[in-house]
Amino acid sequence: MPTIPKSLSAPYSGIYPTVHNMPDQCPLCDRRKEPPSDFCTFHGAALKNLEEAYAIWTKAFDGQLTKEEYYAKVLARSETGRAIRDLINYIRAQGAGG
Amino acid sequence: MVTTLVVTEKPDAALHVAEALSVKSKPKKVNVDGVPFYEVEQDHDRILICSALGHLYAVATKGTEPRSHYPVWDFEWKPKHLVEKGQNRQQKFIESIAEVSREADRFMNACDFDLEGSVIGYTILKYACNGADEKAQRMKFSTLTTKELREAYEKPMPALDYSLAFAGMCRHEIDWLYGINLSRALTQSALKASRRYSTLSTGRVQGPTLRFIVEREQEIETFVPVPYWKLKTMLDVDGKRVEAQYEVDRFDVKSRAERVLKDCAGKTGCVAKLESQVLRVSPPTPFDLSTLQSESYRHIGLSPRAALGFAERLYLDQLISYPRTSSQKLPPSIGYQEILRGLEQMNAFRTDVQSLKNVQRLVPNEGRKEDPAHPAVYPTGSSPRRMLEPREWKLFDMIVRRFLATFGQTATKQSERATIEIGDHVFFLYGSRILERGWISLYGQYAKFEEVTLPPLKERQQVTVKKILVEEKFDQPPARYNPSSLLRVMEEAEIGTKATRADIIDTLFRRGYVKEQRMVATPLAFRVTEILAKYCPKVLDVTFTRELETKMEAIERGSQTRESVVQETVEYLKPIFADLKGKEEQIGNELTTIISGMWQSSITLSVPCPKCGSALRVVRNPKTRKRFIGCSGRWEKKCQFGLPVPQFGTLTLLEKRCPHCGFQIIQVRSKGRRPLISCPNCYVNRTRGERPLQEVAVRPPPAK
Repeated sequence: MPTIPKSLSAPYSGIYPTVHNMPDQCPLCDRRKEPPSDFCTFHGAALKNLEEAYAIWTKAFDGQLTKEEYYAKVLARSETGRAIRDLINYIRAQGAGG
Repeated sequence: MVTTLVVTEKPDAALHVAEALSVKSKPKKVNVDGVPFYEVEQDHDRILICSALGHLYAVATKGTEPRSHYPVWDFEWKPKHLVEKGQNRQQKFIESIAEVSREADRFMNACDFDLEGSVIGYTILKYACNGADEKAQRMKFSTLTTKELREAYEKPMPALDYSLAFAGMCRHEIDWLYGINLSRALTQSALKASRRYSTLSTGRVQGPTLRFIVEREQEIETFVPVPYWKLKTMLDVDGKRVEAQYEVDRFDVKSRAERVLKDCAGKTGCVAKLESQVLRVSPPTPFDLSTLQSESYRHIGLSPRAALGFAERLYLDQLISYPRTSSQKLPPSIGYQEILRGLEQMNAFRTDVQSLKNVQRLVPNEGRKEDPAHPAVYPTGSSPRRMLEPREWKLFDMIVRRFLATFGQTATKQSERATIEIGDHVFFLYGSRILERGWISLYGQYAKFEEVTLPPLKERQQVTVKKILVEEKFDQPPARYNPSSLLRVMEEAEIGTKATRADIIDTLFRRGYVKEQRMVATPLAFRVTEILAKYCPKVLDVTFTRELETKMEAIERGSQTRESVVQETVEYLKPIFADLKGKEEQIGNELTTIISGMWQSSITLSVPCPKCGSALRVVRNPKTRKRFIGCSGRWEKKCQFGLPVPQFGTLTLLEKRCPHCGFQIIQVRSKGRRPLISCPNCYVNRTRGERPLQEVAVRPPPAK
């Protein structure tokens, strides 16, 4: 009998199942975008928190912190919210693609 | 001979009333069509005591409109068995009470003295006893003790407490208007869009309560931790190591913390100042229901609903006073000395009660909250007549100790602070100890105080810095609500009542809006809250809900009428539902994804197929309609893996894994049975003789 691995993702890992079928859909969930933002209100709030916290992090390290280092540090923390993780991964993927 | 019919709320209460009123002989138990009545002879008069089973009547749609129709504004009170399924016993109770009431000349409502009790008594007297409410009297009591019940019977209120009954009925009617219309709007919108029926509910109090949980979840999901630094400093005082705290609690810039570290490392400190302060700690206030529920959760781990359930059983056993109270007052009329004499008879409390005997005048430390109907929760002084189950005993023990503690002496605590200078930097050592235990001894294990003893210190004494380092810390996201903290938030927001809050929290779990003890909001909770906030924000508005509570309190005081409050609510809701009706399609579309996502996750296992790695799902055989766990790789990968599951009951996939094989555990719930929790993988291997069953309890399905 094969052993069943214990770490498996649930059917969907985010707040919402992401099914993309609308042109004005948030790239991270199935809510609508709230222009001028590229995201829905929920992920827009997450983006605002992420940007505000960057200013605090930079000050904490005397200005010696790049955005990529910041993302890596935030992702390494267990306290980081799921929406923030999704957002960082999305921004990184966009950066790599672009 | 006059025949009096006394209506009580529950069968246990009927027995206590009967026992209290029968002075000479035991009450006679009579069965009318399987419904128990008690008959008591008193001074040539006959008293018949009957009981309800909680509410026997409920609000329902007037007429015979289909269940899917909304909005509905016309309602009436109907026998509960005509409104809800599975209420056959209620039907028998109504019929029996109606039959017995024909013999009665005098009527008495002896249901619990609160909103619900008044509604139960009023509806039975009005509808089952053919308008007997007009001549009925009201018994008022806070405990089911013989003394209080006799007094309540001998000196009843001359008429029913109509204001209380109407306030209670108004609450039921408004909640029904909100609940039925909103829930039907959501359910019908989802049904029309997805063709899948799923019960979605919300209500006047449920909506704002769910919003609290969702908003907290949003804060957690969008939380970005921010770093800060703390200095951890260990000092050596005459060979004893103590931890000192720097004058600044946290550094927001790392380099500043490192600078202090550099300045202090390797230096010797000096005790600059020693301070101490004596603090007085007042006894706790008596228990109102909310505090009782919070403390039960904290010390015994009981959910608010479970705590209320146990407290009601203790009340019906005559051990405590009526628990559904907002009062924090203990008036002398409850008889402090008599209660203490009763408690002294119990070994567990004897020593503590005796310690109170030295107190010259017993004065409880009362809180601010008042309740016109009942005092705070207190023990009656009676000893348990049956073996209490462990959690029940703990709750009883806590209620008794709280009662004793409220009469206790003020405790005194000494807090000490030593100021240590290391170079130009200031550190502190803190200590605290209890000088006089006072009420703390009486409250026992439920009073928690941490004592920190400082080593003997003198001013200008030298201390060595043994270790100093900078610790990196991070801000934490806010904690999720648990049933107890949510109950407090509801109370602070003044939504719901002491009697309904625990049930509302329970409904949130039942409807799949929250899961786990930490109350994690599910995607469905997010979506329903967002839809309500978008299409009918007024429904989630705590202010309006609070205003309604105030109006219902005004009915209790007699300054508002039930009809006007209901009419105002209908006028408020009408435009909201007209608007919702026109947006059914949009709402339905927004709900569809989430419902199908929820449905998918409810049938998809979190473990993959052990043969091919595809997802496993609970599916049905199209021919036999039997359900089983099947592999989704059946067509693509030709995987034949499958496991049987029980064919009866509601099947839920639990988050737990089997300790033997790691497979997902399932739960099957069916009415009247204990839930069956089992590992389908171990079960099938056991039956095939491949693997012996170990710790996981597996029971085969019953034989047909």
